[in-house]
Amino acid sequence: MATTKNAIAHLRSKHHVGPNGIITAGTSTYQQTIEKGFGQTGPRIVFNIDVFKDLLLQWIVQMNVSFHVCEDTTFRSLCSYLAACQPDYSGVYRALPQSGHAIKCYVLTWYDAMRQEVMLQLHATHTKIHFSFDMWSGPNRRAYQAIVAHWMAHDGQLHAVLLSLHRFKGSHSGVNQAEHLWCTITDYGIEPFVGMFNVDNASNNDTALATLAQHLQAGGFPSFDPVSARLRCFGHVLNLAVKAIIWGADIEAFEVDMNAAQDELAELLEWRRKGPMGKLHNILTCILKTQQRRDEFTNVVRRLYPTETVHTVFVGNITRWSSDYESILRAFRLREAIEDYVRTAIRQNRNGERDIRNDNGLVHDELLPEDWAFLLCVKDILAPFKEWTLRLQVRYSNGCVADILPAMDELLVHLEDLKVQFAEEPHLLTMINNGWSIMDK
Amino acid sequence: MVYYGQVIPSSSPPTFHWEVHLLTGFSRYYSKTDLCPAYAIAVALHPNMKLAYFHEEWAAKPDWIAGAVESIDHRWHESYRGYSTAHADERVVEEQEAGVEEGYPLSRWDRKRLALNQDNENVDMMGRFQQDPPLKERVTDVIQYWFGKSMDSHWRDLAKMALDYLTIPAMSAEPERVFSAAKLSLSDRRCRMGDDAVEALECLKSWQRDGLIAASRQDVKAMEDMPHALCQEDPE
Repeated sequence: MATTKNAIAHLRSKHHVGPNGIITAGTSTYQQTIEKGFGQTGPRIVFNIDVFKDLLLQWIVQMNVSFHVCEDTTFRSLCSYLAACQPDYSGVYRALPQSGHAIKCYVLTWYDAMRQEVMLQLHATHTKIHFSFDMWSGPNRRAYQAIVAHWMAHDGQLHAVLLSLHRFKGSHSGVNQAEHLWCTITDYGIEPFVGMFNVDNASNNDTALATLAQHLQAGGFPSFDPVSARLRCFGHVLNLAVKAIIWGADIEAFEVDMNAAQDELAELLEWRRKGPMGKLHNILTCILKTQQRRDEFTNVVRRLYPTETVHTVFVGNITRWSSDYESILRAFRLREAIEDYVRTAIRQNRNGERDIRNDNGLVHDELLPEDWAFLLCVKDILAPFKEWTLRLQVRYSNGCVADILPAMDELLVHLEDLKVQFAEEPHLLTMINNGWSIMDK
Repeated sequence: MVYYGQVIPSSSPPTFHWEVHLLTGFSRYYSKTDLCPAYAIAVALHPNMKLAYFHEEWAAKPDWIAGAVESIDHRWHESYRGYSTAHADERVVEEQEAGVEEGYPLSRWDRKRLALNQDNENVDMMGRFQQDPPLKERVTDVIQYWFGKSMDSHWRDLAKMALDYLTIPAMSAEPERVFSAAKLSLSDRRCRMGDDAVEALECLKSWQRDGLIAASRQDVKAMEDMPHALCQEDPE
C-alpha cells in the first residue's frame, strides 16, 4: 500500500503528474507543497533502469505474477503510457524484458546474488541456528522438501526464512532427507552454528537427524546429538491429542478404516460409531455436500437468526489444528438451524418429498438433547487445547519453547480435573483418557 | 530422569484400560521431552519461571526435579559457562573498540571494571540467576529480556545460553507457511515451472517477507522516505 502511495507521490513530485494529467510547473499550488516538503534542495530521484528492474522483480515474486506478464500487451501499454508521458521514463520500455524467459533469468540471477547476502547474515548470527523441515506434494504432483532456518541476528532481530525448497526425488526416507539437509547446511557454510530441529513426529525424522549427525561428525562437528537436538512440533502434539479425544486413541487406525469403507453408507456408519461427535460430523457433511443443500441451510439460518453474520457450518478436517473444535463452536452458534434442518429433512423424507437415497442417513443422526449436552462437555474439554494453540502462535509466530512444559502441565491438570468431574460418564472418560494417551506422538 | 513415568493410577476403573494409555502414551511423551533437555532449559531460563517452576509444579515428583536440574547444569557447565573467557581476547578488543567508537577512550576505572568482570566469571551466574525468585512483573518478550542482558559482561554467558534455547521454534509451522505460499505460485497455469525457478521464487519471497533482504538502493529508500504531505489529494 505504502509503495503505491509513494509511487503516486513520486509521480507528482518528480514528474508533476496528477490524476488529471500533467501539473503545470510553477503555477500549481501542489508545486508549492513539494517545495515546502523538500525545500529547494530535496532529494531528486532520477529514473534508473536497474531500480526499475528490481522493483519489477519484487512485484513478480511477491504477487506470484507469471513470468510472461512482460509479454502481455496490456501490461506493455501501461508501461508505454508512462514512457510516453515523460521523456525520463523512455527507458522503461527499453528495460522491460521481451520474454518470460528473460524474467526467469533475472529472477535466478537475483536469487544467486541474494543467497550470498543471506549467507553473510547467517554467518553473523548471534545465536545457534535452528531448523524446521518438512515434505510436501505440490499441485504439480512433485515432492518438495522445505528447510527453514530460525535465528537471532546481532541487532536482536528474530529471523525465520526458507533456505531451500528442494525438488525431492526418490524415497522420503530419513537418510534421503538428511542428504539434502546436509547439502543445504554445507552450501550455506553454517555447520558451526547448527542448533536444534523442530520437526513433526514422523519416525523417519529420527533417522534423518541421526544421519545428519554422522555427516556433522565426519565434517568435524562431533558435538551434535541427534536425540537431544530434536523437538517435536507442539502444535502437532496438541492437534493429535484433540483428535484422540474426539475420535479415539487410535486415530490412525480409524483413518485406515475410513479409507477401507467402500461405499458412502459404510462411511456414514463408521462415523456414527463415534457417538454424538460422529452424528454431528454426518449432519454437517450432509449439509455441505451440495450447493443446493448449503443454500437451503443458509435460508434456515437467515430465517431463525436474522442478525447472524455467519451462515454456514463447517466440518473439522484431519490435519488442520483445532478445526474440530471450531466446527463444534460453530454448530452451537447455529444449533437451532441445524435442528430445524435435520427435522425438516427427516419429515420430508417420511413423506417421500426428498431424494431418499441421499438423506436417509439423517434419521439416525438426529442430535438428541443429551447429545448436545455431551457435545457441550466435549467443547469444554477441548477449549484449553485451542487456547494453548493460539497462545503459542501469538507469542512469536513459531511459539516459544519455554511455554511447552507449562502447557503440558496445565493440560494434564485440566484432564485430571475432568476425569474427576466426569467419573460417572464412561464415554467422556474414555475420550479424556484417549487425549492423555496421544500426548506422546 | 523419568517424567510422569511413575503415574500409574491405582484406583482406575478396569474397563477403560487407562493404565495402559498412561504407560504407553503419556509417559512416553514425557520421556521424549526428557530426551530433549531444551524444554526444561527454556523454562529454567525464563525470568518468570526459573527452576522455581519445577520446585513448585513438580513438587510431588522430586526425581523429575533432580533430573531437570541435572541436565540444565550439565549444559551450562559443558557448553556455556566461561564461554566469553575462552573468547576473552575478542571480547576485550570488542569492548575497547566500542568505547573508542563512542568517543570515550577507556579510563583507568573502565579498565579496572573490565578486570573485575573477568574475576566475576568465577561466580556461577546460573546459580546467581536461580537464587533470586522469579520476577514478579511479567516479561512479555523473554528474548528481548536476554538480548538486553547479553550486553552486560556479567550475564553474557548465561544470556548466550538463554538465547540459544529460547530462539528454538516451538512449532514447525514455518514449512507449512512456505507450502501455502508455494501453492499460490504453482497455480494451474504454472505447474510446469522448473524446479530451480520454484526454489528461487519461494526463497526470495520468504527473504523479502522476513525483511532479511531489503530494498537497499538509495533512490528506492529515498522514495519510501518521501514526506506524506505529498500523498495528499491534489489541491487542484
